[in-house]
This record gives sequence, structure tokens and C-alpha cells, in this order.
Amino acid sequence: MVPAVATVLNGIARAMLMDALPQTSDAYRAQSLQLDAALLMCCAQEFDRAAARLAEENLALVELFTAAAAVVEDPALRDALQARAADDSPGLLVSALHARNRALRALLIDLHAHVEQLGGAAAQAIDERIWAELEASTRRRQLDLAMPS
Amino acid sequence: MSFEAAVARYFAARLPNAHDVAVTRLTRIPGGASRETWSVDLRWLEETGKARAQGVIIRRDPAASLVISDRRVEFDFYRSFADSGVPVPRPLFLETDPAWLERPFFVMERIDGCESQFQALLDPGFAPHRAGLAARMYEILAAIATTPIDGLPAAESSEVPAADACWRRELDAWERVIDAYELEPQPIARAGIRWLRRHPPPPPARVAVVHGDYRTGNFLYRGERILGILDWEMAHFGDPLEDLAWSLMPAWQWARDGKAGGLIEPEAAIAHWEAHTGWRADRRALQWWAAFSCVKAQAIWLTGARQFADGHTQDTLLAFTSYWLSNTQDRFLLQALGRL
Repeated sequence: MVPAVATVLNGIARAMLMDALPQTSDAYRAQSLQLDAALLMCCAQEFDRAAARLAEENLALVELFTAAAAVVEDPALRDALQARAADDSPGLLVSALHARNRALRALLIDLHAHVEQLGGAAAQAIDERIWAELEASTRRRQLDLAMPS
Repeated sequence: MSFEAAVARYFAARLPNAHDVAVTRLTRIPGGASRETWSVDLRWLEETGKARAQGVIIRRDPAASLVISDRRVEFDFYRSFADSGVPVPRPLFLETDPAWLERPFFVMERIDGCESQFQALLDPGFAPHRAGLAARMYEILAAIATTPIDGLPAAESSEVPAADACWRRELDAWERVIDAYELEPQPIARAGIRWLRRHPPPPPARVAVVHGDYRTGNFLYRGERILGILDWEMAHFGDPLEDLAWSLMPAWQWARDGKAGGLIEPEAAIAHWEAHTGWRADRRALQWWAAFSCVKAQAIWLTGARQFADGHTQDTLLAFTSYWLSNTQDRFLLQALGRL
């Protein structure tokens, strides 16, 4: 067994902050070291959670599109929502999950703009559901920059 | 030729009647992320043999940046406020010939003996100075907003929009930045842009100088004194409420305690601004500019991410902003839209 990726990246970040930074008198280099370490900590967290985060979000968007298709008045948009929701799983590679996520979120923009133009309780409910999903999407992406132990 | 030798060669050519020009210290300093910022200690002899020394700052165009901006515009806004009630470093030379330092740059006098980093404001030892510094910060912002724009050097390089065109001009410009630089779809920013277009603010009573990045971290200070307003690369003419809203943005509430710039409650900051401008800050318009500020900031973070992803720079600041600030900015926009 090898050390987990997060362990390795956090270890490097910690060494940069605890060992290299105190040896650096140049202000620009010191800031660069701090940023490099912070970026490694971000990457460590993202590496571990990326597949789960993307799969969860992609599923939430598919469910949202399925519900929204009944409300959408534009036939082309409705077809696009149904086609996108019916796509098979892209597999477990983060790059594939990410590509599907980009496609889904691009369609979410079109759906949101369309729903904003509609009246009625059903459209309003979808609008609220989109806002809730947008808020959830930011929670999924939040990172913690506390110093790794 | 080393960068230091190239800098010495440039000043030897530009300083009148100077001999034996030498660079005694050259350091790159953090901050001012739109351009490389270099601090230079110069020494030379005048024709009379008298020794002279001066510290200067070089702002050189970067290989890639968070903000794509025009150095001439930035230089002209420094010129506009030189020797005015708005403290700025004195601008010296604008050099567009890349032969000197590989890329164009401008030079200004260095202001010594002061601090610029916002982190120092958060030190408990600085607490007694925060209120006084905040009062001065908003007094200066009011001075910028009330400066008559006719005849300013900045009008030579920046267009003056009609009052009712200010909001659309800025929103269009920053939406184009998102169009050009986003690495992936931005459903929150796009929803924000649609909201902004559906709820335009009233036009300002008068078109003013807008600094474009007025906040703690972008001025030099010592105790409660502000010695120089920096980073004018996004300056333009527009609605003065844009600057006020930008300065209050949660992204700059460094201590996450609701205090603008780590210094002052937003309502108290607005009160200072209103007292010194003699104008009332329309709260509905201010809300619009607050949401706009989140869209603009997001455009800046996306620019940095694109520059890094496309390999135009290895500066991790640009990658870090996308990892850390982009999502945080989305949450601030949701908050500004009443959705969080």
C-alpha cells in the first residue's frame, strides 16, 4: 500500500509552510510558497472527493431535468432535457464525470433562463428547485484551508 | 543582459543629466496581481557630481494576469490624481517600447515606510487604528467620486459614458470576459447577469471617476494615514456607487466578521461616504452594484483560471483563485441575490 494522495500532497504543503517558508526572506517568494501550499491542500481535498461530488451532482441535475421536462414549453429544450437525462453513465473517470457535468450545467443555464420567463406555480416550483440546486452545488465545492496535521 | 542591468540601462537613458546610474536593490513584490511589481533602489550622479538616490516602482505587463488591462489607462489615472487630495505615488514614465524590459511598463515613485498588506490590519495591535483608517479610506473614496472629470488626463484614454449607460457598459464588458475565459459553464453567474439586466439601477446623479478595485490591500497606509491609493488598472468613468459597493463586498471582509475590508461595518462606511460626498447612496442601486461586484469578481477569477489552464503562466496565484475564490464568489452572489 502506498500513502494516499491526500497524505502526500498535504505532507508536501506542510513541509513548504513549516520548513521552507521560515527560511525565505524574500516577500514575493514567501507569498508564492504560501499559495503553492494552499493550492496543494485544495488539490488534496478535490482528489479524494471529485468523483463522488460529480456523480452526486450529475444525478441531481438529471432528476431536476426529468421534473422540469413536464413544465418546459419550448419543445427543443424539452427534447434536450430528456436526451441529456437519458444519457448512460459516463464511467468513473473524473474527466468523464466532469465532461458530463459541464454538459448538464450548460443545459441548466438554458433551463433556468427559460423557466424565469414562464408563469404559474409549476414553473415557480422548478425555479425554486434550480436555486436550491445552485446553492447545493456551492456546498459540494467548498474547500477547507486549515493547516493539515 | 540581466533584468537588473536592463533596468539600470533604462534609467540611464531616461534620467536627465545622470551619470553612473546603478541599481542597488531590485526585488519583486507581491500584490498588484494585474502587473508584475518591482521595487528598485536607484543611485546616480548629477552633472555637478552630487550623488542622488531614489526608490521607484516598475509595473511591468505580465505574461498572463487576472485582469487584462491597459497600462496607459492605469498610468493616466495616476496622472489624474498626482498632487491632488487623493494620495497616489507620482507617476514618472510610461514606456511602451518592449526593447527595454521585454514588455511595456510604467514607473512611479516609491512611497516608503508604510504597509499595504491587509493581513496587518487584522493584527490585534492594529485595532486602535481601524476606525480612523476606515474613516480616511471612505473620505478619500468620496474625494475620488467628487473630483470633476473635465480635463482629467484620464479622459485622454478612457471614454466618459452617459449616466444612464454606466451600468450596462460595465455589465456588458464583464459578461464578455466570462464568455471569453470561463473554463466551464457558470450557472450562478449567468443567473446573476440575467437578474442584473432585469433590475437595472437608476442612473447616477453624475458620472465620476471609478477606481475599479477600491479596497483594503490596494492602498499604502501607516497607522491611520493613507499615503497612496494603488492598483488603478480597472479605473474608468462611471457610477460612483460601483466603487462603494465593491469596497463592501464580502470577499474583502477578511476576518469574516461582516466588517468591510476588515475595518468597519458596511453601514458606517456608507455613512462616511455620504457625509463626505454630500450625496445619498441609493440602497436599491447599491444592492445592484453589490451583485454586479460579485459577477465582476467572478470574471476576474475565471480569467486567472483560464490563463493558468492554457499554460500562459505558472503563477499559482491564478490557479489558487479559481480553486478557492471562484466557488466562494458564487456563494457571495447567491447572498447578494437573496438566495442564501
